[in-house]
Amino acid sequence: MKDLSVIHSYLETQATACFKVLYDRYVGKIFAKCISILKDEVAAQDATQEIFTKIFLNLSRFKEKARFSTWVYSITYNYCIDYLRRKKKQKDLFSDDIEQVPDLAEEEVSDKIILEIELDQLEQVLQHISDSDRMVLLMKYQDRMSIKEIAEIIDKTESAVKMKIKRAKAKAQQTREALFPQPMV
Amino acid sequence: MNEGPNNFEQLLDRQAVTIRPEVQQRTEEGLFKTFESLRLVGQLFDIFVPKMVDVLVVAAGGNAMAQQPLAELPDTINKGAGSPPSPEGPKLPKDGLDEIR
Repeated sequence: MKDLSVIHSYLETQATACFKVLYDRYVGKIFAKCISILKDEVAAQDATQEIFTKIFLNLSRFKEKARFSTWVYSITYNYCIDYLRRKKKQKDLFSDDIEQVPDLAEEEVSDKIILEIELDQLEQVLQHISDSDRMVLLMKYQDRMSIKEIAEIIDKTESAVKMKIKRAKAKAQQTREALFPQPMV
Repeated sequence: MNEGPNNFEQLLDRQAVTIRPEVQQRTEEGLFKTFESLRLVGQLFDIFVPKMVDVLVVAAGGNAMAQQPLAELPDTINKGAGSPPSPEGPKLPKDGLDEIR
């Protein structure tokens, strides 16, 4: 049964069993994302609960313009961004290098190179880059969000997002080379 | 073009299944308790808000009974233009037809 059918059934019947289907489908992924971003199991547990409460309260407002997973993950990122902002007392997590003048000589790392990183290496690389770099890479490659969708979540312009992704890819590639010096097979 | 899951998606799938059962259960219990509480608050709100409105209307010197729901009003008032005709036909005015003539 597709997500949309389950949502319609839930909105018609308000049956907890229908929401439980969505819960079972997404709990692991939301928890994994929260752990990956927050790096704290207890905080990730609380975050997962809060995120599902937001989903529960706002499900009738889901517009079906985007995929349900995109909507769910955007709630997840918004929660995690707010949490990290509060924790780090930093107003803008994504301001670190977005406003810097782009280095024109910087060659863009291709998507192919990023998408060919082996799973164990990718997990390590993601743990060693900054929160903001990790989040934009996850939004783009894990959730296949559009530049516009990412821009809405991180509250930046689309060109700033493109620059941020370019730099995050470069950081990921540098980190991979530092952690795993052998050339890729 | 290969449309299968890429390495990022495979990583998420791999991480998602490693969630410990006790963590999932604890989260689930907490969550569904919250839902029940929210439902209860919603139901209480549905019951008490109309009563509170009545109390406020009376306190302001109005007549709370004037806000009776339609279901409690006489049957004829609830019938709209599209409702089926009464088997006895239309009722005559109480004072008889002379006045109309």
